[in-house]
Amino acid sequence: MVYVKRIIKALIFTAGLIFLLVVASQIFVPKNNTEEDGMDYFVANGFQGEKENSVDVLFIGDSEFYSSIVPLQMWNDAGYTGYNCGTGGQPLSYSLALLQRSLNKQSPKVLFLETNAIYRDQSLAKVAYTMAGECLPILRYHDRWKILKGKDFTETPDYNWSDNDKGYRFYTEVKPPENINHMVPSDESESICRANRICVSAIKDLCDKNGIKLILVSIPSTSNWNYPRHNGVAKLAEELDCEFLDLNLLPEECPIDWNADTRDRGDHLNYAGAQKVTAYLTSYLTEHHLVESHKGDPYYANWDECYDKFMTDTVGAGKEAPQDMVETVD
Amino acid sequence: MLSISTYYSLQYLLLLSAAVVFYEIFPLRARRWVMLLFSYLFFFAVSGKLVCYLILSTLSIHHIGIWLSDVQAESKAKLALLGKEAKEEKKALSASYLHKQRCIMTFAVILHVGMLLMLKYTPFAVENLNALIHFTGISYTFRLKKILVPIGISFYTLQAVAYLFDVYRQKIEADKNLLRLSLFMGFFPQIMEGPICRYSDTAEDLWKAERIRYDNLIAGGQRILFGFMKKIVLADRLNLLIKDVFSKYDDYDGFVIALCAICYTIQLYMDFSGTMDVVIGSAQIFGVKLPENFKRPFFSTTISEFWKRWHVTLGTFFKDYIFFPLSMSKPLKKLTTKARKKLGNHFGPLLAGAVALFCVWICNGLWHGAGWNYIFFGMFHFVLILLGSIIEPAAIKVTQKLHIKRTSKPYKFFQIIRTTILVCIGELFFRAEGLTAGFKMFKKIFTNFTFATLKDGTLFQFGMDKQDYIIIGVSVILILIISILQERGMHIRESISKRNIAIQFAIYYALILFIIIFGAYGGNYVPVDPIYAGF
Amino acid sequence: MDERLIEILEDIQPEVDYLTCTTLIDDHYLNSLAIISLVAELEEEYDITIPTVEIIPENFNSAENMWKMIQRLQEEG
Repeated sequence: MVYVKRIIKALIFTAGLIFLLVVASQIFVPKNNTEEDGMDYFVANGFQGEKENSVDVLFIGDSEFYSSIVPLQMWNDAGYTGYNCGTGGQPLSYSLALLQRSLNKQSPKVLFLETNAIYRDQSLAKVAYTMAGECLPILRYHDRWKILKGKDFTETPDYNWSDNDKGYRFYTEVKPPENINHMVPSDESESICRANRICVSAIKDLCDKNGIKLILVSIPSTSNWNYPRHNGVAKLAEELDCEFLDLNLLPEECPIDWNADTRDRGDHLNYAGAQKVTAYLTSYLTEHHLVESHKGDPYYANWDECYDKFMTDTVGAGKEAPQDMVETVD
Repeated sequence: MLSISTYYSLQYLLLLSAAVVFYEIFPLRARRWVMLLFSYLFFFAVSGKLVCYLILSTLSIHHIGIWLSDVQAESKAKLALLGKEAKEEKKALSASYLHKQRCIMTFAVILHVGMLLMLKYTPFAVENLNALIHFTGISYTFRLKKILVPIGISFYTLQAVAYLFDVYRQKIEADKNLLRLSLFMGFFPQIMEGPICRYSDTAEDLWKAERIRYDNLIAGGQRILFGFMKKIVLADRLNLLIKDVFSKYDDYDGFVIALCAICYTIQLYMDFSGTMDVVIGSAQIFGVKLPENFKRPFFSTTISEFWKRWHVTLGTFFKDYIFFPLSMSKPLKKLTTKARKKLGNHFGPLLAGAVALFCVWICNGLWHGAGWNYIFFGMFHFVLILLGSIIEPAAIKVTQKLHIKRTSKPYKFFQIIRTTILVCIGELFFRAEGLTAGFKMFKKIFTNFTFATLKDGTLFQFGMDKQDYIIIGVSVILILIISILQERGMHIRESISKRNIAIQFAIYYALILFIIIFGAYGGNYVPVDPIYAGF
Repeated sequence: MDERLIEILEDIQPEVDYLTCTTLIDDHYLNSLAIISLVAELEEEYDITIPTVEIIPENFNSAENMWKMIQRLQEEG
């Protein structure tokens, strides 16, 4: 009898705690996806402010992506709508979180996942923390107690901000690498940590469930990529039954000139390199009939405006993005 | 695969919960094995294969303990055989057996302390040897492979040595049961950062392996929660400032350095005493009462009192196994008797005491780590305690002349503040990155002290804003209030348990939400590594 | 109880009522140095040897306990 009473007590306590955390989460979750409202990685999260079901292609990955994919170029060339969700040093747990978030308001058709993050080891605890933060935002946004305002207590989230350049960061600097022969064929295969394996297969499952085509992409990078890594990811792609495009091994289709196309000795590409990568991925989408052109559709009218603004304010004005911040967490 | 580096982690909580569940569902005899299994699992998660060192130490003290007790038994039996008349013979016999026991003890101490010294201090010794060689002009450098040190070795080695001494002194009987001894050595909550337990403290509780009691579960949980608050809200938040100032002290003026010394003292206390709350709380869940390691040290009026209330189990270890044996050794005893006749009661025992105290503080400094700053830290406290004893009679006279009542509250307050300042200075050297850095920082406090940094925004450079400082202040005051209540003899956890259920729940919810909201985790916060696990 | 013991104690640390106090160690009336003096003095006065193992708070917390310890050691010696 005492036992039953204590178990009931424990259940009531737990229920009360969960209730409180849910209430607190509603207060602490950012009310708009802007920097002032304390949104995490607000540029990458700009897709949440796009019109409903307007984004067909998502690029989720680390700094390799935000340096190398120009969604507005893709729009201008082929009429495809894409958003670049690259964040510095992104762990795969956050990639999974971004994909989950995208499903609230968007129904993407294609997801490009950058493979560099597959070799960024993380612990299972970290994955658990990120996922818990998605269920109970108080865990992710608890530090917002510093900026809480009245509206946090009264309003519900309404995300309407988006990045004009759709997540791309513009860099023009040229700094060639010393060694450009980074893809020496090898039979070795670098192993992938358990947490990352779990994350990639969770992403794949989520994609399958929502009819999204998952494509793994390796952006050309002499300092981050090599053959054993290629082999490791190729094996993983086979296991998961998904596409894997290693642009490091496609000099014909994606001709990177290492003397002109990198901004930091082969680590990341600059705008010249990004244009080549974007052109190739656009043609890939066209070739495989994966998405449709929305050119001329009034629902997407603002994409043309964004492109013009990008060409004048960013490219035309030479407005470089800030140097990569060392973003260690998430 | 399974890897744990701190008690403040999901992994530890999961392991603890699993241990609780398995412990509870098994019958008594199996429960002990469950506990041992989880203990080694935890140590494996912390130190990997180095768990073999722990097992080796356990086997060794098991064997040596039995050896000692056999010698003691043999000696007793032979003495009993001799008649009352054979006094001389008896003396000779017991002397020879005592000699034998001493040899065994010497061997045992060399074995265990030697292993600790070898693993922990070889790099330091080689480094200094190299410096010495270079000084003499020879260009030769000893190279050393990286030695892997099992975390917790500084703690369990002391437990092992204390056990053997207790057997040797016949305070306890040698344990013939290897399982019980393994539990005493390896009990998982305390293996990483202490408290350093005596065999008589915990072995019995561990062996009894009582079923988990509801009140223990609740009380233990409360204490773990409180420990989490100290660490996650305070210690981790302060890390931003402390890391920066200690590594780039050249950039900051005396005020910031002084502030940082205080912050580090707070951080060290919150980290270590918070860990002790988690550890002692975890043990309490299993009905094991571990000795307290902190008794609200910042209410101490003297440095010597401070060390009776800070890291208590280390202090009593040194007192029982180094200070008293040394000061009661024959040569020092003679010194005391002679000196007392000439110098009187106060200064008489001081000579012998000073010698023993010196040894204690050298050991204390070195125990914390191989580095000159730790040795300096030990010497700093040695000098302070000795000075305290030397000037005490003079201080009494001065206060009498000035008509200051030494028991009055303001005087006590003055003493507490003075002691705290001295402690903060000690911790500055303790944390400084090298002894030279310590001196440079200390000098800056006096030569470069301005309040300008208070206004020009330097304090907000470390990724800490006004709100961070406010929450630090609020939490420190909260813990201060709790400490004052405890100091007045109130049992906080008990009195919470007596309240009605709604109030109890409200208090727990408030504490949990406080930790979740104001904790310094995620985002840009980098949790501080468990400080004492490194020692 | 032995009067001589009380005299020794008062000589080492006055201001304490040794007949009633039972927390001499716990409440810091006798510090480590006082213990060193005390042990040396007791050994001389009562012709005993106090081994280190006897130096525990229980034995020194009150004059009565000290007296018990002395008697015990005298018998053993």
